Amino acid sequence: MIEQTVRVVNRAGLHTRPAAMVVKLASAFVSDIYLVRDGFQINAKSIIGVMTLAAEQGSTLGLLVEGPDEAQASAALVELFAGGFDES
Amino acid sequence: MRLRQVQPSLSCLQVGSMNPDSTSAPASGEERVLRGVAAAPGIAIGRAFILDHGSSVRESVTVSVHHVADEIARFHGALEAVLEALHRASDLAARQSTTAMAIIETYTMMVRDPTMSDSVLQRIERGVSAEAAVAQEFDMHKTALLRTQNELMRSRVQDIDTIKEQIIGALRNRTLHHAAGYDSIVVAPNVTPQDMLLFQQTQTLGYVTEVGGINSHTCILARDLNYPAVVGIGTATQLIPQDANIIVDGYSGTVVVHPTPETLEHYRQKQIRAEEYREKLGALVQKESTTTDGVRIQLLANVDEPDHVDSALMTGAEGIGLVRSETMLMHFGRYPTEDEQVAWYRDIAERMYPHPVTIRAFDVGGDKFRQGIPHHEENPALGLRGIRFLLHRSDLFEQQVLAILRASVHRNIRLLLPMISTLEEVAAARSVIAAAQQTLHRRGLPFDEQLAVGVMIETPASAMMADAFAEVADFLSIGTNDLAQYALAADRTNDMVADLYDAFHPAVLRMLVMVVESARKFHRRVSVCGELAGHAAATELLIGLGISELSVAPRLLLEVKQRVLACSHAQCAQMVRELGSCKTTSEVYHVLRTMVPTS
Repeated sequence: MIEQTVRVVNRAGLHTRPAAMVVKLASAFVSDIYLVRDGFQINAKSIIGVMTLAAEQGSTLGLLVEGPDEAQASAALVELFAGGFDES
Repeated sequence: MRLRQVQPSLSCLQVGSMNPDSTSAPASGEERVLRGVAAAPGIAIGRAFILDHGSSVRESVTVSVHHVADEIARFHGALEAVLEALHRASDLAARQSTTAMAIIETYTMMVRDPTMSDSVLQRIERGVSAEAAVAQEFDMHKTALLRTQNELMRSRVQDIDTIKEQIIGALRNRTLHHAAGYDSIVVAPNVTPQDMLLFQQTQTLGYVTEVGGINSHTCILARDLNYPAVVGIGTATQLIPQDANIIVDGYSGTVVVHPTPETLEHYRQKQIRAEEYREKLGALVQKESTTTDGVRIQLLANVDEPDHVDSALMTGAEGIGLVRSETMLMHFGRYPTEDEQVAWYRDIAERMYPHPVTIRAFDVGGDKFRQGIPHHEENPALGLRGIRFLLHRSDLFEQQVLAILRASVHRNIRLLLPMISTLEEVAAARSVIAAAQQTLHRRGLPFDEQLAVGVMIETPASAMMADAFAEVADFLSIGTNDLAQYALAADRTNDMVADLYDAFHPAVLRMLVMVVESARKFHRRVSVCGELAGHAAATELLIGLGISELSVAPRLLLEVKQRVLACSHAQCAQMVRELGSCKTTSEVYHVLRTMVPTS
């Protein structure tokens, strides 16, 4: 299992479009992927879950990945968060 | 692109007993002809499906263990139905808007959300009904979202609600769906406009009701949505057995129960002829609507929601003459927020651009959708409706005006005030509009500074004082349904007096003359957007009166155009002069028959 921290850097936070991007990317991997905020853990493949996190700009989330492709999955998600979801 | 929402509260239908023992008449037997009132044209041939308005479907929150498998199947079926609807919507959106595509994609992901469906299934397995399980699941997420302070995040609640309502809508729909099948004709004591929208999604062919006047909003909607319908067959639900083969002739107002093969063939031919006629009208779309002596008549369509704008465009409408904004209340099941309204109005205005779109402020009260308006009156038609309600609830009115102004950026929106009877009401409405403009200036939002504000002439008071209203309004629009109803003191939805209601009554015609003359004096445009505009005999009459803007249901537009192309303005004006001496409705009809070549 890989445990990491990601930060929401884009201005609008994890609203609909970035949430959809997270879910789409997470769903491309077979590993179980979770996001954790304030002790609240949600499935990163659940759009409703990711939306409900309501992660604003500057918030820090735990990223838990467990499965055969955990290294790739975790690297890809870290990159997506760091890139600010291509928000201009 | 707007996704159609079926509100949970819409389907308070109880599916009639499917048990043949409990129906009062056999499913086969002698041919029998029932006579009612022709409410919406067309021929429907199919199986009768008896509906009773009783307790609502599956209102119970819990289900017994025996039904868990059924509930799970219903839930899966509902998800499939919503996905299918989203898929269809995305096909449309692909051609129109990338924003809409993105929203539909998100919605699709929400419906496919594995955590959501697992959690709903667990709830069902614990004995909760599918509807309640879906509601509980989504409400839980909603509560979580509402806890955040961030406005953008909180607004995601709308997405949660939308999907919840769509799934629940599909669940209820399927209840009806399973039983009604694809080729059925709904037979019910009464059909509300809300039911109509539900029927629209269940492939219902037509309907027969026990009550309902020809000009009720239900019938207007039936005509709009192209459902053959016959109303006013007193004991239809007892006379027509469940599953019987029936024919609904919406042209003549008859229903045939257990038709013989000969009768069936006769009606099939009639159906084919009607279809051919519709195809022939198609060639008219491109033609400019001008009388034989060169007078230009603008033909607009009455369209209530963004998804129906297509039908107006298909028939070559030169604008939307009437958007009944209260339709939104039905869709949302509540008063929509300012942003929701902006999206709705803008969608219509953009699809219609550069053609004009006239939005009528919420006209609630009377026999219209009272949903969400908790007030009761002895005599609602004479009560707090139209502008009276809007000025009473000026918060709702101001919110709507703000939304209309915000949507007016392309400068093709006009605002119409309903049920005006005094000048003071116009002044009060004007000050609400001025305040809204100030608000938008403060917010730094753009809008059409010259937004035209029109007055609906639909009370005898406003017709008699039309010159005073023409002076203060930017345009006038005559609502013939209500004007005739109030002038003749006859409720058009009351079967007992519906025959008194006739928009061709000389009293109504004299009022129309007054309104047109007043409008001319002040160089104001005057349009007719009531049912009269689409009436077969009225085109010549309205042209003769000097009305140059007619707004009708999209379905009727080409038929009206055909009549415009065939008539001469000079002859129509002559006919109107002759009508001036008519003292009774039958005299009016007599003149119309002699003057108007029957097509």
